[in-house]
Amino acid sequence: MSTERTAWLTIAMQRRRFLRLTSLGAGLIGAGLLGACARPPATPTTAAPTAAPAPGQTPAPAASPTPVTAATGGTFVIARLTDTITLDPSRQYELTSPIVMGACYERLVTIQPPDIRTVQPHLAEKFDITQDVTTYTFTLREGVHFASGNQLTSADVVFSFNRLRELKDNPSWLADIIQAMETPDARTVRIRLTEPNAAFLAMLVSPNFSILDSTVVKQQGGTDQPGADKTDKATEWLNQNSAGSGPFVLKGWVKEQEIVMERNPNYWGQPAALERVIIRHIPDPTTQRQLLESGDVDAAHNLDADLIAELEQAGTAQIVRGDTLDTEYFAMHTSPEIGKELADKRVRQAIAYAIDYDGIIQQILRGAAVRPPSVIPSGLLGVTEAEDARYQTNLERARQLLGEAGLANGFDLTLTFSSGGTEVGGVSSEVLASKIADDLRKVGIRVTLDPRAPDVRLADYRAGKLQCTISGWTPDFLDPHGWAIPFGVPGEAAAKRVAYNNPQVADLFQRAARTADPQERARLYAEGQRLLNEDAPFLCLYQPKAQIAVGKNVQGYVFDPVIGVDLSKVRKS
Amino acid sequence: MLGQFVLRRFILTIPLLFGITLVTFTVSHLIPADPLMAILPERAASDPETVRMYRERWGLDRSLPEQYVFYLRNLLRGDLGESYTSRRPVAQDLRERFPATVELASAAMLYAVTIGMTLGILSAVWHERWIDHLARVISLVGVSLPVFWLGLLALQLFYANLRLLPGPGRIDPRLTAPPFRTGFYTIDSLLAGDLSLFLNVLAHLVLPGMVLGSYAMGIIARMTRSALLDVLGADYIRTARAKGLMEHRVILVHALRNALIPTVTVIGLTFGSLLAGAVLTETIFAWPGIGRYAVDAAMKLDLPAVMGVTLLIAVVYVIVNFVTDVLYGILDPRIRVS
Repeated sequence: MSTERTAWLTIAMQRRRFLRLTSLGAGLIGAGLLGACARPPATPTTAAPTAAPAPGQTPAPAASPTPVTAATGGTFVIARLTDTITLDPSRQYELTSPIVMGACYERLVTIQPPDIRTVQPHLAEKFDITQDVTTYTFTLREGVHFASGNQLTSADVVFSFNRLRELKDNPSWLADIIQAMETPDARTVRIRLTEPNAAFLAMLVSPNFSILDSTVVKQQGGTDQPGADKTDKATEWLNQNSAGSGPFVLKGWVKEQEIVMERNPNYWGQPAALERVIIRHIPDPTTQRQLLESGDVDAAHNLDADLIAELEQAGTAQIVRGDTLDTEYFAMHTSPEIGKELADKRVRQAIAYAIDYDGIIQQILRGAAVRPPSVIPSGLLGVTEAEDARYQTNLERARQLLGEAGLANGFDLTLTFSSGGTEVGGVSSEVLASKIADDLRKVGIRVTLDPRAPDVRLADYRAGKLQCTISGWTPDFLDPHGWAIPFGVPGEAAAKRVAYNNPQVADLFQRAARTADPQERARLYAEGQRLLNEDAPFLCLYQPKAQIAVGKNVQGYVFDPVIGVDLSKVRKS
Repeated sequence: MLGQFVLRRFILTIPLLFGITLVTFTVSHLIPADPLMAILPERAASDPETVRMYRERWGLDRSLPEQYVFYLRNLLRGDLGESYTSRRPVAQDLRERFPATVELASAAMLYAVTIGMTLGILSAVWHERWIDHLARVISLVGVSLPVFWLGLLALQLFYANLRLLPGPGRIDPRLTAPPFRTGFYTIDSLLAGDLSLFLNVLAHLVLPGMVLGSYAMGIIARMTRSALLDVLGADYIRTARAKGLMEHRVILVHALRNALIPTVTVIGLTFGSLLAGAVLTETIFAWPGIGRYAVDAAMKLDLPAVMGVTLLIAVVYVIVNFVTDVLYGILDPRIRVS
């Protein structure tokens, strides 16, 4: 036994044979590399251009079709931290899934970034909104069919929105506002809301309002009937396949590895240039950069500010920038019990004047952020109109306000933050909290930093137990309504946490939601923000920019705050 | 005799595994934070009805002992519960991820054992010569270099600069995974009859395997060297040499067998740690294994996932220890008897 057991060692000890063994090993590796390089050549696209998109309607500028040149086709690989739970459009509520929703599904309306204020028709060729903003009527575009070949009809719209609501999953609340839907004919959908809401059109841009092929989804066990949360069985299938009308179809998803999409050969509109898109799970930013520079991936989504700066200097990639709708804010409790000195509006205003906003953006974010006047992000309705309400750093004014509040000698403040946490824009919670503490010390406020485990801080903040804290907000949908209500109306998500209550602000924001005329809405939102800023329970610190590195041969890559990127417009030369 | 020994060792593992579930359950449920508040999105977390629904769905509304009994009952049926974050059965998550880890750990072990033992033997045979010094430096470097640094450096050098080896991931980014059969890409690619994919998978194992195996390689080299040096001084070796045996037979047959016992222990233990502790390597090389799964689960307070992965790793350790013990028995009959 022992001779056999050690026979390989004996062989290995004979030098010549040992060398032969190692060279065999190297050969095997070499062969592997060859295998790696010998990829099947990208087959040239054969899809003949089908019907051009129907002429854009109402506010839509006719989308100029991207000329499909000879250089179409190929595989486009995105390196990304793929944080998704599901690819079912009516259940997904994460950060990566919208890219897939944007590619494989379509919605009644859309936006054309960088303009995110104008909602444009898409699957609906026109929409009609009653003056009381309670009834929305959509006329579907003719000749739209799903990847399956089925015609897209008003029944599919009703099925999709009902299913969204009945699944009772994380995004279902978005559809709660729908009271009834009618389909006078196959091309018309009339939606009545439970209350007047001018934000509904913008809500329909959200990936959750994607239109699903009801025939296919039902075949896979899907249902839109009450009780769907227990009876619907289509999610497992929708995690691996798509049932949409978009320019791509989902080919498979291996969790934390890859999401594979292929061009929809049946697409009703201008076909996509790319033949295949793979979203690959690469958690480490440095690795993402190496893959991009080596040409193994075409886009890197999770690079930090330092890596972006290095790439820019090296000139090895293009940097695509765009405004996210994320905001980071400083929250101050307004009650005397919890907020203590902060219960005095003048003290909160003093803090608003003491924070060095430019320093935060320039030093911590390397300039990759903007600062809207209030917690409603830049780019949305009613934000430019409120520019005059923006706080500018003014230490003199801060000291003066503290003096007026009888706190000329300063006071003690406890600033709670997530220990080891990360704020929006990838900023370390500790760095941001320390910077603010430094700023406040300059006007005599003695800050005690209070780090807590991220989930503990969040739970305490949600329970309204913190004197002040830094926190982030990510968008639910593309309308100021998504911020105005939670921040401005007493008892709502954010306002509750700092016991903020100003009936005037709440009234302005609620009235804005019921107003059809965009100019009047913008005015109401601006007025509400002015009052909100004067009360200063929340101070917006920054709104980070998205920074994406793409290969130098990539064209047409534009950041989209809703679906990440419109992949149908992306090409490689 | 050997059969009895194996059986005895096997029976001992049952109370051990039971104890592990109890400790893991208690520790993970003692965390003073509400997992729901850490997991649910803004809207859902501020809606009492949704919170209640999730509490019920995951059994968090019951008392701790009740939850534990419930957990054990499901466990006996092979049900590890539903992960709070992936919303899938933990067993399924592990089933998909564990093969990736085993594949990587095997590559690492293959590298560590071949290179480590070779270096150890060379150093012992040419004791205090230049080859010994060189081998010791190599093993010291292997033991001391932090894995994340070594990983980034190796990628930068062999992948980004020299383009000798493929980059992170189990396959090239532009290729797609073979159809899931076993979860081992080496096997699945062959089953799919795709030889070029198989070679691609092998090539992708080289760099992370070496990085992950570097520590084990260093330890094994040092263990082999010192154990062999001890044995080489023994009387029976002198006798063997006096009988006129060839030197390579003396070393590889007579000395090495006795020197293997401590080495086998180390190999067993490091294999266990390779399976459980590959978090950094897995992150740098975008390897979807259970090490990263464990860390993610712990960070997100995903209790069923934490329990599941801890149990799996515990089982792996128990098996590795068991195999090691049996190997001792084979290598050294005295252990079998005692």
